[in-house]
Amino acid sequence: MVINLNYEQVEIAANSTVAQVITKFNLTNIDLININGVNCQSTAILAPNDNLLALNKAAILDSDLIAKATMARNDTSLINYFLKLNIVICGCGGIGSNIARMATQLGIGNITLIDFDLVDPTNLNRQMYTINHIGQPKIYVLQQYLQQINPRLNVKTIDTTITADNIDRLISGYDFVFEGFDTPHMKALIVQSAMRTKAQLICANGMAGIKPASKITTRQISQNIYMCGDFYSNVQPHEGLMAPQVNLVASHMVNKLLELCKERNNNE
Amino acid sequence: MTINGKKTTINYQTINDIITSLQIIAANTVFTINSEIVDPSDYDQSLSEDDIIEIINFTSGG
Repeated sequence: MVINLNYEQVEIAANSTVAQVITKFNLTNIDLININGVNCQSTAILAPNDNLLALNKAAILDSDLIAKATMARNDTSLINYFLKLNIVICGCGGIGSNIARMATQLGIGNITLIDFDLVDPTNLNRQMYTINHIGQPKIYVLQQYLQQINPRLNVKTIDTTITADNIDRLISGYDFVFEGFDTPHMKALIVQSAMRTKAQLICANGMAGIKPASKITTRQISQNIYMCGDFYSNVQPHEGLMAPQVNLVASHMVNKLLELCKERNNNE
Repeated sequence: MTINGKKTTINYQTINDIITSLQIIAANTVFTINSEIVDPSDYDQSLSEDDIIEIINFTSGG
């Protein structure tokens, strides 16, 4: 029977175990075994067309193999769909930088980052930046970080301030638009822009303070616009804008993307 | 009309009436009428008694 061993088709005997395949192909020091996205033991029995990853964690040097194996735990039916997907993230702060990380981890092929701002120390409690990045433009720091997760990612940067005059143009032409602004008037502005341009928008609203995680939800506010958050909390003195709630909202936003992509992929 | 899921007896004529009466910060807010987002240039359009209006007030943080 035929299986895929480390992304190459190989012929093995029916009902072979992983251990037998490792022996047959002289693979050494194997300490990562994954079949069809699930980590397994070497006693696992293989079936035709299984995707088997059998690697030594400390000796993965081939960049092509790294790129493929990075996506091994993702939904395999969406890999090609995500490679072609083109998204834009407007604002690369707490919401935007975490969305960028998750979108890259999903294997989305094309990401555009828009922000005008530099990293400052107050960002570090919830954003994907470190002390070494303070004073640097967020979009360039984030671009480098994302390419360390996936070197094949096509990541573009737009160093600009989004305004009422340029927003329609900046969010047009993408499969999905993610809003990551921190001011309410900019959030309202992008929703109105998505209404005009018909952009598929996923936005955030309400993530400040401390509350049960279950208060964060996702809802559809019009045909092409989704909103994630608690829908009421504002940043207040002493109450904080902290990583757990911000990450919850960002996760809701990317999860909605996953749901929509799965649905569309099934319909194609 | 219904505003944010509640029937109201107040007969607002336009979105602008709602903004004024409820002291809403329009720049931070999006309105929907019957699940369609209203463009700010249409805030003076006449509302009908059957309209279902939602006021989405955006908050800070991101």
